[in-house]
Amino acid sequence: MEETIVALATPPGNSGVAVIRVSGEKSKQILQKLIKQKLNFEPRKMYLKSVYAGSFVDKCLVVFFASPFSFTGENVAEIHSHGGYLLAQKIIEQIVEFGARLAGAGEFSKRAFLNGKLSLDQAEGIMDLINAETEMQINSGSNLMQGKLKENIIKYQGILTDILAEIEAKLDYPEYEYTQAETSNILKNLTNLENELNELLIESSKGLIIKNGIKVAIVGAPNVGKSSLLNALTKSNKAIVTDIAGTTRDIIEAEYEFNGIIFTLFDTAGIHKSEDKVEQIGIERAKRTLEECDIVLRLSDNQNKNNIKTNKPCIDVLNKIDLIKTNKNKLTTENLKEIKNPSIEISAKTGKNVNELKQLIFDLTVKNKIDSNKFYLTNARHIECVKNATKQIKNAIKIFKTSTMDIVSHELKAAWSTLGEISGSTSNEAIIDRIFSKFCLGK
Amino acid sequence: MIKNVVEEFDAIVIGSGHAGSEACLALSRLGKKTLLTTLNLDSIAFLACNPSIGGTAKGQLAGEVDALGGEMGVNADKSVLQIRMLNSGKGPAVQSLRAQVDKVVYHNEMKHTLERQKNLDILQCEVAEILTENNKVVGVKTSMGEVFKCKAVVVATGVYLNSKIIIGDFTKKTGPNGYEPSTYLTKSLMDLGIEIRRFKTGTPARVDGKTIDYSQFEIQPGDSLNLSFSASGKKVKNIMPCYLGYTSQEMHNYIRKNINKAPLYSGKIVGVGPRYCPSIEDKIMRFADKERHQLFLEPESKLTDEVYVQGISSSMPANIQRKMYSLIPGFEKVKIMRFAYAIEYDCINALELKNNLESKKNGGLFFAGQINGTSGYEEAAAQGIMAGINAERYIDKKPPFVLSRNEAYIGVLIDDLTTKDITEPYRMMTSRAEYRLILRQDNCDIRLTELGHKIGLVSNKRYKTFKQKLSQINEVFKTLNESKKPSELKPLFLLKGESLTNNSLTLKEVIKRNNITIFDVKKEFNLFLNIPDSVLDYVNTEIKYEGYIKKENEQIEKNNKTNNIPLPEIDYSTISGLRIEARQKLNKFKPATIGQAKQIDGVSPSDISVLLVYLKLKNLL
Repeated sequence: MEETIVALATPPGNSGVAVIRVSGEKSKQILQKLIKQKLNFEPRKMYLKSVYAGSFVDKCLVVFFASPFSFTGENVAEIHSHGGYLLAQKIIEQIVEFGARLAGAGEFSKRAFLNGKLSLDQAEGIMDLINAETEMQINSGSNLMQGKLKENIIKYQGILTDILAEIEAKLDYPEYEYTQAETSNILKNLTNLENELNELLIESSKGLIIKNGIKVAIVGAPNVGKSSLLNALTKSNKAIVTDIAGTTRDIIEAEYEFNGIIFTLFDTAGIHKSEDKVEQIGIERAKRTLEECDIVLRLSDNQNKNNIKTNKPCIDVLNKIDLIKTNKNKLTTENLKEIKNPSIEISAKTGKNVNELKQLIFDLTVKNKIDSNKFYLTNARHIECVKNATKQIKNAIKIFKTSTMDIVSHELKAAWSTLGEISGSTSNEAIIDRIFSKFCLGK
Repeated sequence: MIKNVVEEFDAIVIGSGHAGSEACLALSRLGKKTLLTTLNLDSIAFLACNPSIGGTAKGQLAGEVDALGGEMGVNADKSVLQIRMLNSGKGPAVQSLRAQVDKVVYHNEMKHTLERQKNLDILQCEVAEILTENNKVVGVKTSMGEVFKCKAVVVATGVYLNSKIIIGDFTKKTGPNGYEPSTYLTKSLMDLGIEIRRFKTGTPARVDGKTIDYSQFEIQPGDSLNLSFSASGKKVKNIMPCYLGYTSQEMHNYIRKNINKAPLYSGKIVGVGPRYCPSIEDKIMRFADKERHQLFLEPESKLTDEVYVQGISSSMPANIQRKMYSLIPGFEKVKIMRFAYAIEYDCINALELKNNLESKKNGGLFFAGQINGTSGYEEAAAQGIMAGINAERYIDKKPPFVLSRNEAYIGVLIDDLTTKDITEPYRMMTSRAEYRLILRQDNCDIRLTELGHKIGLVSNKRYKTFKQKLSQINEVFKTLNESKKPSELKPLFLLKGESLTNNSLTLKEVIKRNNITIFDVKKEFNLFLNIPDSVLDYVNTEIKYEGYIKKENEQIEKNNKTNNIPLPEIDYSTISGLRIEARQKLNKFKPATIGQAKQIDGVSPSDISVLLVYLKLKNLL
C-alpha cells in the first residue's frame, strides 16, 4: 500500500486561498478526522466545514475524490483554506499527525503518472522534477545554507554509526561482552545526539524564516501613513493613500526583497474604535495579522501616539518628519521616550531613511537570529525527517534499560534510515565498516 | 563436439567442501544424475579452520539450510562436542546457535552420507577445464584427459584455486592442510570470461592439548538447554568444554619487535584479507592501546589431542610462532602440532553471477562457496544448496529459486554477493540483515520448510513433523487467549515483582509483562504439558516482540510492492532525472530488480522514483 502523502498544492506564502492536497488510502479517514465528522463524502462535491487543526479552527471548503477519478488516481482529499501561511501549515501538521507524510518533490505527479493519469509528454518533465529539490538544495553552491544540509545530516548519521557500531560489534561478536563503562557511554552519546537534534529543530524554526520570508505588520492609528510607508518600502502604489482616516479596510500585502530575503508587508487597517461594520472587520483582521507576523512597525506621527501593544519584536517608526520643520527633537522624544524599542524617523513621502528602516528590519529579524556559521533546516520535509529520527532515538533511550539490545539497535537503525531520506544513503555497510575500523574482533 | 566422453551426467559438482556437499546432495536428491569431483576424498566436508558450526548469523544460515532440506545441521548434530545459544541476553533477533564439532566425525559422517546417496557418484580427480558450446555448459575435462558430459556444473572449489600458504618467508603452492591445490581451472574460468581476483585468509596454530596448563584458563561449558541445529535432529549433549584465556604484554612486545618478519608487513602477502579475521600481529599493530586480547581453546575432536587456538591466527615464521605462542599464560610448555598460516587463493567476482548463482555469460555454470568471495562453512553450505537447487531448475527449465532479503539470511547473502562490490572475504553478520527480528534462529523452519518441501528436498516425514509443530503453535496461541482474574494472577505477579492489576488479563497480555515469560505462565497455571520448549520459546518471542515484528512486516509489505519489479538492460547514463552518482553506480552494478537498486549505496529514494517513472515511460512497468 502506498503511504498517504500531503502537501500544499498552491504556492507557499499568503494568498487568497490555500489548497492542501492529500493522496492515498487514508485520505478519507484523515478528512473525517479534520472536520470531526464521520461524513461519507459524495465524491467531487464541495462541502463547507469547520476544519480543526490544533487550536485553530477555520471554515474551509473540503472535497473528496474517490479513486480512480482523481488527480493521482488514488483517493484524494483537498482542503481549501483561507490563504495564510501559518494556517495552512497548521492544517498540514495536523494531517501528518493523522498518519500522512509530507510529499517529496514531484511525488503527486509521479503517482498520477504511474496510475496512468498523465500523458507521456506531460510526464517527460517529472523525472527532472523529482530530483530537482535535492539537486538544488544539496548540490547548489549558490545557497550556502542549503549546501550545508547533506554535510550536517551525514555528521549526525556519523554519530549514529559510531553508536551502532559499538552496539553491533558486541551483537555479532558475543564473545566480547558490554562493560558497564561501555553501556553508560552509549547511553551518554545517545542522549547527546538527541539533545543536538532537538536543538537543531528549535533553531530551524528560525531557519524557516529564510525560506518563507519575514512577515512585517504595519500598525498605527488611522492616517499616520501606513499605506504610504508600504508604498515607499515596496516602491509601488499598491495601497490607496488618502488623507481620510480609515481608508484601508482590509489588509493589504506587498513584498520587497532586501539582502536576498523576502519581506512581506501587511498594511493593516488603523486600529481604533469604529462604528463602521466593514472597518470593524478590518480591525479584527489587523489584530490577527499582529499575531502571525514576525515583526511590528509601530507607526506614529507628530499628532498620533502609538499605543498598540505587542509581544513581537517591534520598531517605533516616526513618520512625516518632512512636515516637522522645527522642534524636531522635542517631538521625537515626546512620542518615543517611554519606549525601549529601536526607533527611527522617516518620511514615507520623501523617502528619507526608508532604506535605513529596511536595514533595521533586517537586523532585528534576520541578522540577529540567523548565525551564518550555523546550520538550519529550511525544508518542511527535512524537518519532519529530523523530528521522526529524534523520536526514534528518544525511544531507543527509553527502552535501553527495559528491553534487549537488538531492539535498541532496531530503533537506532530506523533513525539512521530516516536521516538517510535526506542524505540519500541507505546502507548497512557504513555501520559494518565502522565496526571493523574501531574494534578488534575475530579469530 | 566433445570427444572421449567417459560418462554422461545431468550435473557435475566440482569440489566437496561445505558448498559442494550441499550442492551435490540437492541435485541428486532432486533426481538428477550427479557426479561429485574432489581433489581428495579425505577432504570431503573438511573443517579447515574452526572446529565449529554456527555463530552469530551463521547459526541462522545453518538453520535455514536445514529447513530447506540440506545436510549441514543434521551432520553437525551428529558430531557435536558442545553447543551454545549465543547472545541469549541480547534479544531474540541476534541469538544464534554455535556448536563445537568433532572435525573427524564431521568429515566421516558427511562422506558416508554422500556415499550412500542415490543418483550420486563421487570421483577423486582434478577438473581442468569446463567445456561449453554456444555459451552453455556441456561437460568437464579432467587433468588426466577424461571427459564427462553434463548439462550443468556447480563450481565449489573453495580456497583451492592456485592457493598458496604463507608462513613467514616460507611459501608453498598448496591448499589447506597440505592438500593439493587446483592449478588448471582458473585459466579455464578466465577463458570463459569470468573475472578472477585474489583473496587471503588465515588460520591459527593447532597445539597439543596435553601441553596446556588449563588452570590458567577459564572454562566455558556448553548450555544445559536442549539444543540442536536440525529441526529433525535429536537434542545433543555437551561432551567437551572450551576455555577462555588472554594474550600477555610480553607476547605483544615480542610480536612488535619482530613485526618486520610478518609477511603482511613485509609485503609478501598481496591478497585481500578479511577485516573480521585479523591475525594476531594485525590486531596488535592496529589496536596498539589494547593491553590484552581474548583467545579461546577449542577441542578439535574426541580422537585427537589437537586444540584449536581461536584468536591467534598468524603468518609469522615458524620460530617466531613457537616463541610467541609460549608467551600466552598457560602456554609456557606448549607444543605446536600444526603451524598457523595465511592462505592466498583465486576467487571470482560474484557480480558475474545472477541471483540464482548462475554465470551471466555461461548458461548452466553455477558457482557456490568461497570461490564467490565468501568466508565460512555456513555461507558456503547456504550457497551450495541454492546452487544445487537452481542447477536442477536450470536443467528442467524451471524458474529460478531465489530467496529475498526478508525471507532468509541466505537471501541477504546472495543478494549482497551478486549486487555489491565485495572487496574482502564476505562473512555473514546479523548487522547485514534489515529484518533480523524476522530472520531469527528460532523460526528458520517456520520460514522455509514449506518452500523446501515444495522444491522437493524436505521429506514427507519431516514435513509431517513440521505440520505438527504448526498445529502445536496454534494450540498454544489459542490457550493464551484465555483470560485470568486479578486474583488468579496475583501470586505470579507478586512473585515476579510485577504491578498488580484490577482487570482480568489474557495470558497473552500477561506474557507481555517485562518480567514474565511463557515458561512462568506454564508453571503457574500448569499448561502446555505436551508442548516442547522450542515451540514455547518461539511463541514467547512472537508475543514479546509483537510490536517490532509487526513494524518490520509492514516495512517489508511496503517494499515488496516495488522491490520485485525487474530492471531490464538499461543505459542509465541516458536517464536525465537521475543524479550523476546514481547513474554511475547503476551502470556499474546493473541491478536485476528495483529492490537491488535500492540496496546500492549512492542510489537515493528519489532516484528510485525516477527509475519507476522511466520504466513506466518505456512501457516496462
